[in-house]
Amino acid sequence: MSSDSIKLPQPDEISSREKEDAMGAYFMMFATWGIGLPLPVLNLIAAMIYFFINKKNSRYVAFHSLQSLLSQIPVTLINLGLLVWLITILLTDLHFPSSFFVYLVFMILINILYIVYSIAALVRARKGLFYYMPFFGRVSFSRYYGPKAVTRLKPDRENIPPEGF
Amino acid sequence: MRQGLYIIRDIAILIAALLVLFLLSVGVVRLLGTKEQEKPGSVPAVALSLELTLKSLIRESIKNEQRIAEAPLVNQSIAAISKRLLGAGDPLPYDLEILVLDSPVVNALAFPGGLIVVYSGLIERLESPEEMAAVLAHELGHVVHRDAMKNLIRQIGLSTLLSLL
Repeated sequence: MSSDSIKLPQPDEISSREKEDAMGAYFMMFATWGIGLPLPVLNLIAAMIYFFINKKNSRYVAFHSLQSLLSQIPVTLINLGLLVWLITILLTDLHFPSSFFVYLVFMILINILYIVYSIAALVRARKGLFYYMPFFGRVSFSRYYGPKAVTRLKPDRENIPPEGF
Repeated sequence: MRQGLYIIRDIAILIAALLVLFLLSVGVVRLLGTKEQEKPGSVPAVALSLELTLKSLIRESIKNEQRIAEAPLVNQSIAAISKRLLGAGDPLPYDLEILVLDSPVVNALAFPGGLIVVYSGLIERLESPEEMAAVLAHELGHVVHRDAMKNLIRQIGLSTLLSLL
């Protein structure tokens, strides 16, 4: 597969509605963080709902929401791990080992890194640009613009010019 | 085929980033000097002064709301029993204080900071000094294990987590 076979929509070809929806996929994460901070699974559920609502509308929005959803999975698991550990400590012997604090700092650093990536993606999505996070961007791209996606996402109806043109 | 190589490269980048963050967090915790607590199950050292403050607050509120028994004989015999009990076990983290309350309730309680409250109803029910010793030994166990403070930390921690939900 060569890069010629994949035709990407350019920023001026993407409607502002799509740009806003794609930005919303990343914005959703910040909103649900505020609401569901102690239960980190909530933002994952919100991202899933957002993805399943928007994936039919536009490939550009589907790409960005899937990237947001996929990249939230590991971060959420790490945050959930800290919550489970904290509750376990509170329910048992109240002993906070130093490995707990290492995990805490680790979690904070990962979340900061993730927020930086998310804001970068958010700004670009608003401008109608593609942004690829390492690994997640690649997976999401191949799902919606990869060689298989061309046949899978072929529209049932399409406009063609009259014969001779 | 080349896609596979790029995905492996991306995963390697992610793993390297996680490793760097992990080492960074280990370094931060080392620098801040969070020392491992000596004994599993012990309450953090900062809690000790807090416990003593709580103790004086609780003592004040008990003295305001309940009647303290004014029987020197009872207090002397309880002091004698607790002195013998204290000699048998580990040293306490703070001084023991026993209050006898004038009330028909049959109960004895251990509060933070080594404050033990015995109701006179219980003393009337007892038939021998050994029974009193058994009750006091039980409450002393709570004091040695600092159960009151641990339960307090546990309750505050869990209810804070729950209230955020």
